[in-house]
Amino acid sequence: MDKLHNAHYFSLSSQGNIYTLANLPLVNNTNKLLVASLRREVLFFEYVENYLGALIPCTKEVSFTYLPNGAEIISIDAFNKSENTNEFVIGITIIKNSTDLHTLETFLNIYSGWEESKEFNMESLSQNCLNNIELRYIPYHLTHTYLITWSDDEIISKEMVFALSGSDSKVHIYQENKTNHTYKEIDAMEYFPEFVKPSSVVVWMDIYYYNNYLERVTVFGCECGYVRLCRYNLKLSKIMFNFSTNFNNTISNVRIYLEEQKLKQPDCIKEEYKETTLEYINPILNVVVTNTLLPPVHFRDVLQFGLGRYDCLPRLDLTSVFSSTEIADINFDGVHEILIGTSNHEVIAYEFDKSHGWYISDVRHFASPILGLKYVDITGDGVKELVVLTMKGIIILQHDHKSITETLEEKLKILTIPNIKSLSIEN
Amino acid sequence: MRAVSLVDHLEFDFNGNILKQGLALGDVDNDGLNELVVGGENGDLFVFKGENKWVSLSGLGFITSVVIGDILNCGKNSLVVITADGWCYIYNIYTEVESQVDEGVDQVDGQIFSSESLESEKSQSSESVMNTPVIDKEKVELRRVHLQRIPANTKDVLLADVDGDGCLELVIGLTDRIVRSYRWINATETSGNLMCMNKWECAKQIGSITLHHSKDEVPALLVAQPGGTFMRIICQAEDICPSLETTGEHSDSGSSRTDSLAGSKIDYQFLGISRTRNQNISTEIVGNLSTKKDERKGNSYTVATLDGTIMLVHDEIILWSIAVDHQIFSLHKMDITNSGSDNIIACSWDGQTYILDQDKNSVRFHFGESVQAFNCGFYNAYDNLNTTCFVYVTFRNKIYLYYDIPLKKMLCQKFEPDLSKLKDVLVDENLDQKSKNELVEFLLYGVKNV
Repeated sequence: MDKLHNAHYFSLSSQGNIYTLANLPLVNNTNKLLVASLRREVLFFEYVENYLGALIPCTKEVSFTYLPNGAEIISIDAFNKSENTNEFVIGITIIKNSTDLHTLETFLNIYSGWEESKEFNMESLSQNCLNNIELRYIPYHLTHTYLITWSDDEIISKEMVFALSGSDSKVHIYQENKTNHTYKEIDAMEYFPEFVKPSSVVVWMDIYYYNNYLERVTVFGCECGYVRLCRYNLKLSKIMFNFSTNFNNTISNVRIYLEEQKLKQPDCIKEEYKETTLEYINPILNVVVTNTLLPPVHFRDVLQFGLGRYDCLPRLDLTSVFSSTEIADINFDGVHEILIGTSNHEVIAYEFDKSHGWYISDVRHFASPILGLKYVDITGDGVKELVVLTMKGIIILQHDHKSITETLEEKLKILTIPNIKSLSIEN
Repeated sequence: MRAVSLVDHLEFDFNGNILKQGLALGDVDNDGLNELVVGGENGDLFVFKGENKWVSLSGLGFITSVVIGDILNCGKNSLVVITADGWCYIYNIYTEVESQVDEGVDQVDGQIFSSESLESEKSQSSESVMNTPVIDKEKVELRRVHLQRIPANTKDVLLADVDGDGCLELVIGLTDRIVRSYRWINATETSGNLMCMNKWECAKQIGSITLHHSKDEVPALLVAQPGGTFMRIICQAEDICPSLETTGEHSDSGSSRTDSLAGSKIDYQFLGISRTRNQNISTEIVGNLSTKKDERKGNSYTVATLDGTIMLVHDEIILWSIAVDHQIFSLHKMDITNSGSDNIIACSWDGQTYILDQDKNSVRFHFGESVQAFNCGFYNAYDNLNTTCFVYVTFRNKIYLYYDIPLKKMLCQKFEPDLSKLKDVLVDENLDQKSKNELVEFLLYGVKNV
C-alpha cells in the first residue's frame, strides 16, 4: 500500500461505528461519501474539480430532518433507485436518548429525492424525509438488496428494499409502497426465508444475486458467532442449501465476492481486442467471515463446496480486533486482495498464493482504530480510492499516478499480445 | 482545505517547559545524519538520535535557545546553547571508541558559573570533562569547548552569514529589542572568543530574525516587528548598493528609512496592508524561500502574524496572503515534497499545522494537542536516512516527532490516462470523461495479469 498516497483527511466530531460509512453511487460511476457519527453529525464528502484541474475536497455537514436533539445514529445506508438517473434513497437508524431506559425510542428514517437534472443536491435530499418508522427493537446493520419476483420464466418486479437487523434477533425488510411513497415492513419469512430464526443478533449480512437474478446466496453472522450460508432459488422459492457453523466469538463482517470479476468491455476499445465474455452459469463465489477475536476465515467456492473448503487468514498480532473487510484489487494484478481493518490502527492486505495459501502481503498503519473500509471511485477518474473510516476521522488514499501509468502500459501489452494458448495451430 | 493524517512518529519524554527556540534539528555529531537537540527551562539539555535519548546534560540554567551549526567556522558543526541569564555555551560531541582511564571530574555546568564573574569567559575546554571510565565500546559525551558571558534575555538566535564574508555569524535577538551579531575569533590554535560585531536596536519587540538575500544577492537580516512589519538590516562592510538606496526613499509607499550605524543600513518595511491591522500583534518572518521557478528573480520571504495571516512577499510586494482562524506562533520553511521549492510551514498554538507551497496550495495537519514549541526539518529516525519531520513539544512533558511525512504532492488531481499510448486499442482517440473512466477502469481492474 506504499503506492497509495494520502489524499485527504477529515475528522469526525464524535466516533462512528462499523455501520456509519455509506457511499452514494452516482450514475456516472463516481461516488460521494456519507459518514455519520454518534452525536447526530452526518458529513457529506465529495471532490470538486476547479478550473485548474485540481481536486478540491469538500466536506459538508448535512442536517437531515427528523433527527432530534440528543439522538444517536447507529447505522446509515444509501442506494440509487434508478439505473440512469440519480435517485437516491438514504436510510438512517437512530436511537432517541431518553433518561428513562425503558422508553428508548428507535427509528428508521428514510430520505429520498429525485433530481431532474444530472446535478446532485444533497440539501433537498436531506430535507425530504419519506417516513420515520418507529422500531420496536434496537437497530443494527442497515443494508439494501433487491427484491425479485419471478413469475414463470420472467422477472416481474425488481426493486431495492432495506434490510435491517435488530436486537430482537430478526432481520426486517422494508419495502416501498409505490402508491403513497412510504416504506413499510414486509414479512421477511415470505421473501427472505434464509433469515428464519438467527440464533442471536445479526451483526452483518450480505446477499449476492447471480444467474440473472435466478438465485441468490445469503450469508449472515451473529453476535454469538453463528454464521449461516444459504442458497436460494427465486423461481422455485426454495432454499437449495443451508449450511451453518459457529465461531464462538462475535462476527464483525461477512462478505460474498466473485472470484473473478468480469468488467463490461468499454465501447471505445476496438473490436479485435474484445474478448467474448462468458456469463457464468454458476460463478465461483467466495465468502470471507471476519471474526472480532479469531482470525478471519475464507470459504472458497461456496456454491460447490458450501462451508467445506476453508482457509484461515494468518494473524498479524494476537491482541487486535478485526472490524471491517473490503475486497479490492489494490495492486492491479487481476486477483482480489482481502483488506481487513483492525483495532490496532492497521489495514492488512491478504493475497493468495498457490504454494503458500493466504499470506499477509501488505500492512499500512493509521492514526487510530479502523472501523470501516471502502474501495470506490470518488475522484471520478476510473481509478478507485481506498476510503478508511477510523475512530477519529476519514482518510482517503489515492493511487500514485505514475504507477498507474506504468500499470496501464503493462495491461495494454497483455491486451494486445495474443494469448498463446488460444492460438490454434492447424495440424 | 486539503488535510492529511500523519502516523509514523516517535515519542520522547521531556520534563519542563521549552521555549520557542529551545529545540533544534541538525547534525551535532557530524556523521551526516540529523539529531534533535532540546533545551528546557530547568536546565536540561537532551540530544535525541534515532529512537533514543542519546546524550544529556543538566543544570545549565534557563535555556532559551539551542542552535546547531559551524559557529567556529572550522567545517564542523557545534552545538550552541544560550541561557536567559546570559551564558553562551558551545559544545562538541565526542565519541570515544576505547575506554580510557581518567580521573573523573564532576560534570557540573551552568548554575555555578552564573554566580561567578566574567572571568569564566576564559574558561576553556580544559575544564570540560571526561566521565569516569567505563568499559564501553562507544562512549558519547558533550564536551564544552567554550563558555562566554553575553547579555541576558536572549529570545531568538540565528546562525548565518549575515555580512557575506563566507563565515557564519551568531545573531541573537534580545527581549529588550536589541539585535547583536557575534563572530568567532580564534585567539590561539585551541581557543578563541565570540566577538561582538554589531548591535542594533529595534523600535518594538522582536518576533524572529531571519536571513534573506534579495535579488542582488545582498544578505540582509530581517527582524520581525509587531503588526506584520519588519526591520531590515544590511550589514555589509562598506559599499551600500544603489538599489537599496532607492527602496529606502519610498518612505510613503510602505517603507521608511531610519538608518545608521557605520557599515550597516537599516530600513523599516510596513508591507502596505499592515497599517489597518492590529499594530501590536506579534509577527514571525522567514526569508530565503528558494524556488525552482525562474520568472521571479531572487527569493521570496514569508511573514506570519499571530492573528492567523500568512503571506508570501517578494521584493516588498505581497504575492498572496491567507487568513486562518488559528493563532500562528511558529513559522518555518522546508522543501517537504522534494520539489525543489521551499514550502512554508506554519504552526498554531492549538496544533494546526499549515503546509503551503509558493503557489498558495495548502495542506493542513492537525496535531491534536496544544503545542508550546514547534520545529520542522530533517531527522534520521531509522535506516540512516534523513527524512522530513515535524517536532511538536506539548504541555504534557512529551515531544512528538513525526518523521517521513508522506506528502509527495501539494495538489490532488484526477488521473489522466495518456491516450496517445493507448491509441492501439482505441477506436477513436477523442474520448469524453465517461468513456475515459470506463477504459481506465477496464484496463486496471478487468484485464488479468498472465
